[in-house]
Amino acid sequence: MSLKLTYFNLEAAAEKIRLACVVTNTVFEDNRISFDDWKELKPKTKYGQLPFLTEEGKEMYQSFALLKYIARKYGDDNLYPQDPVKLYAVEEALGLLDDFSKQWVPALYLGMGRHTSFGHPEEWPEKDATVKSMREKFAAEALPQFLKHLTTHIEANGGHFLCGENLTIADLAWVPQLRYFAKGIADHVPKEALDGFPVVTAYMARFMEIPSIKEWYAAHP
Amino acid sequence: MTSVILRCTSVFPCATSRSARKNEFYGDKQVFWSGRQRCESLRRTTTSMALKLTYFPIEAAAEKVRLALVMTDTPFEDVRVPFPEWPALKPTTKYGQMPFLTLDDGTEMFQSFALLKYVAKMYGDDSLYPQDPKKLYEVEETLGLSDDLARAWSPCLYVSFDHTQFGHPADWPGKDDTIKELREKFIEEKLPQYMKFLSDKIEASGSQFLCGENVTIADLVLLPQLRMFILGFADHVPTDCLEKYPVVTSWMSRMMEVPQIKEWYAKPK
Repeated sequence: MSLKLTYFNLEAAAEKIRLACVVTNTVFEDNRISFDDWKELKPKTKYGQLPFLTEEGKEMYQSFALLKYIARKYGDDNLYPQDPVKLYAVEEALGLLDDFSKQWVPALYLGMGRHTSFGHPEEWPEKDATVKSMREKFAAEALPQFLKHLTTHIEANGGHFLCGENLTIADLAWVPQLRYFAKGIADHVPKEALDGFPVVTAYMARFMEIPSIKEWYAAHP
Repeated sequence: MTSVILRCTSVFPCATSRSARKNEFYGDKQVFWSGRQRCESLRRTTTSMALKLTYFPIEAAAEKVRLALVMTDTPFEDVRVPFPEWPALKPTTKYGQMPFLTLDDGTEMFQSFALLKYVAKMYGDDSLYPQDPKKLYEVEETLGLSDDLARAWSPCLYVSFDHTQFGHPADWPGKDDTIKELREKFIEEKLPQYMKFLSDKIEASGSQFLCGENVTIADLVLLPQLRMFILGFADHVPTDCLEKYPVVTSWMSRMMEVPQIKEWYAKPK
């Protein structure tokens, strides 16, 4: 049985799936392609998007579907539980992540040249200034608000991982997103923004100490 | 005190029946068991009588949860909060959002997709939200497609409610024209792409429901999502905009004929 995950040479949407393979000790080919390769490949994909997973020659799509497939197929029940109440806790944390990314996405995309989808003209002189002010607003308002929700969540569930004492797919999805901001990758969102939330930063450190995850990031800094 | 006779058809004896006693009391109902006892109906009767779902008086995010409750024959109170009452209620909620589900012991649960899956797992059978990894994948892949459609439509929708979140100035003379342009562009360019994806999916699954021959939570999500395009709520979105996609509209008709769903939409709200 051969698994191949195809994505760009970025963490972004694929990272949670890579981590699911890593923590379940599932061997996979981490196929990272260039933007030029993508131009050629895109029309051959089901939805014109990445990532996709190839399992025994068959292609599968949609990053969260792939995450859950890997977890269900290769993980134990803790990673993505079947019990309705435990499942609910994981899905609630994923719902929170979805709300968080909806707060970030406009500020992200406006700075990535996708401003016309939001009703801005192609030639938009105020673009850089608007991107700056939107991202600063995000850093001052939405980011701390969600870090506070996460703090409450972690503490309410025993202070270990997001949904309790075991790692779940909610952690695999949240931590790469938090690390993105902690690394200061996004212009105008300072990496110090997470410093005021020690419960969250301790949680992230705990996650990074998981042996298989530690090994993964040692090989993929 | 009322008496209720419960009849069950599952295999006897099951774990519940081994420990259950005859002539038990549940709340204020005296219950007589006739022959076989069913765990699911027992759980449904004792735990779901006081389920309450709270949302605005619209379909939107709550509708998929309401449909999951009706599909699983789960009684619930459909609480609709008028918009002017929301500001007072908002700070009492976990994330400042609705919908939320309240259990009979007062526990509140949030996040509409989490609620959908909780209801499906708790009260539905395996076909609604399968356990098997491959079948689960099919449902989740469809939910991913639905999410992509929602994200493509979302700026077109929200630019009219709150344009500042997309970097537009509060005072924006170009607003009405931009709303019209964005929505017309969506109907002309994006909508056909997504309708093709959905049509292909329906045909590949055997032309019954989105993921095969049974209704799944993916159907319960897409139905209200597509209904929004044809109910005339959004300016510049003609109510016949889906007519060009007969595979999709026949799926919608099949959904509306599912007895629990038909009954739900026939009810005045």
